[in-house]
Amino acid sequence: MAWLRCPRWEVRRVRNPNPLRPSYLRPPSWVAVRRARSYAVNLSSIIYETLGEFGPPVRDRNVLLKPNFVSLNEATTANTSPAVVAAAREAFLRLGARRVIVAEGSALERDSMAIADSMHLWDYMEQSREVFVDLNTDEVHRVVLRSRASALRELYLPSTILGADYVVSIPKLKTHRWAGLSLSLKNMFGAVPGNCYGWPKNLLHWAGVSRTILDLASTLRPDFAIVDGVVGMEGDGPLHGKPKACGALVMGDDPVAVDSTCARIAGFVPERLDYLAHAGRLLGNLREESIQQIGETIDSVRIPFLPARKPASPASHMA
Amino acid sequence: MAKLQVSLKPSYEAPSPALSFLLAAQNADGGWGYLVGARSAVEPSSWALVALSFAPDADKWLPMAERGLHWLRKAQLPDGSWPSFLGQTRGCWATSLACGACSVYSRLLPETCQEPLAGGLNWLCLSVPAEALWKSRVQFWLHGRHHQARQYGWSWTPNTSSWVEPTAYALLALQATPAKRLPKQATNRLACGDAFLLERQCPGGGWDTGNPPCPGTVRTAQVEPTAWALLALLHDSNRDEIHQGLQWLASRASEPTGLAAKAVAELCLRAYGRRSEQDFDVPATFESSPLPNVQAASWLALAERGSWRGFAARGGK
Repeated sequence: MAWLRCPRWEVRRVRNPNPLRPSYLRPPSWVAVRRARSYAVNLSSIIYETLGEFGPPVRDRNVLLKPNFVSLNEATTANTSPAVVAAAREAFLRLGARRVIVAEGSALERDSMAIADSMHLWDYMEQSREVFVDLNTDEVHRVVLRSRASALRELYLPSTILGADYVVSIPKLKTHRWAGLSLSLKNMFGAVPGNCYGWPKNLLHWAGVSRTILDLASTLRPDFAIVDGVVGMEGDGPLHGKPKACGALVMGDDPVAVDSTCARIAGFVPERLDYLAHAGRLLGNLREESIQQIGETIDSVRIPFLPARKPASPASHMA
Repeated sequence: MAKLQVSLKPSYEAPSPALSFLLAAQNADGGWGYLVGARSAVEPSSWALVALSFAPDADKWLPMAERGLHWLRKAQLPDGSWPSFLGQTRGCWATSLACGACSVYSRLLPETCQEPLAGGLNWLCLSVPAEALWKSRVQFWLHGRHHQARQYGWSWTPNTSSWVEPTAYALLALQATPAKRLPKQATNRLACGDAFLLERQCPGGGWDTGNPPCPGTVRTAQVEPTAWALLALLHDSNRDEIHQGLQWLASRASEPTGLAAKAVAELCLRAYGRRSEQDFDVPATFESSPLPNVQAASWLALAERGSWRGFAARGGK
């Protein structure tokens, strides 16, 4: 239980932290797999109807959507589709959220807003750029991490994400050369501010990618996850992989269960992904028997993804 | 709210829109935030100060600059480094930028600048990235990547790897300081930093964030790292690598990129006396845009005065 040792008063800035519970004390999680064969279908209705089944407590609250925007290349499939982000925003507004903002701190490009521009995000939304916050240049607060998987102990994190009432992680379903798969937990790397840690956030690599995913996920645990698997990315991820049509949106209020379901859909064994296996002990449900499926079955949407090539050597974290 | 029209034509009668923007964006504490009204931070404050120093009638803005420099002094840590924000306890890449700002004012305001500058430069020269430490060298050697341990620059945060942008910032800070004020390690670090930048150039001419060259790995050059690397290598402008880099950058005008990247690309091309193949189309919307406006405005202000060579030429005097 060394993970839980940080003093309570020091983490008071952390937004409404979900309790860290060992797996044997945790009730089963629900994960919805919805078929969406293209971005042209009515994604907003799909997300809205699914959210209705989970009943997220968002009425009159500030919701923060955290997509995965990494590349300025218009043709890339590395970024979460703007259609999914806009549909999620519309669905949360229909549920009565007071304000729904989109916030991202890209790891490689200095200007997250420029990525949103290049993807024409604003064409999908009635609202303009005011709903977007670049977490890389946001004000920061010192936060003691809630777990001690890495040696970091504390990080400066953006006040926008710390102040949000409800955080929704909206990653792309894609392979990743260090983490295996990049999903809703890994997506929280984008909350680490570039103005403190640079572009890329190399500190996280030196502290161990898997370990820092755990520390960030325990500290900024997303309340809900919507994984864009309509068109995923396989192979040389997280940036240079190839599009892989999967035709599914995977949603749920337990990000570990959502990520492990996505891993199964992509033909990975979640227990063999280092960070996910550890996350299954304290952060959420990993085992298939602890996850209740809504909508499509995993088998009906399963499509094996080509894994990313592993780094050449243990010294690769120096890159 | 009226939108400001940004013009790259120098205006000597009145402050340009970029400069007016900077003057209006200064916080009450003397510093500048990333956005108007945001908490002061070392990076935008340093760039705003550099831009003010090259503004027309720079003496007129000296009291503002002095307030900014006092804020920078307050943010400096006892070891000489600067963190990103006042009150943080660990120095980082922002040290190079603060040193650059102190350096340009060191003759005008020596009492305010010289002591913090000496402390900052000393920290910069002593701060080595993780790959230069013996443990990493052994690891590199064991994995046949020993050449990487020989060429290193500066990291974003202590005990991590070298990357292109922090290396370029540190080189610029050292280049902007007269040689007699540099710590003794500076000569070696400057040479090592130059070699690091040249080694990390991508095939095709530009620079990415600084990933090491690995067979089979795709590397995509980006506008900002390319512009900073080229500015740091301005003293060596006859090299083939520099020509390739400039060619790559000049051809990027039509690619999607942000306002800050456009501004720094324009600054870089003008420093080399070049123009982009098409105009970089620097947008006219400062006030309504939630971009990191203060840096973009600073770089535009520097670009419109064509003053980068003046900044870089300060060293060696």
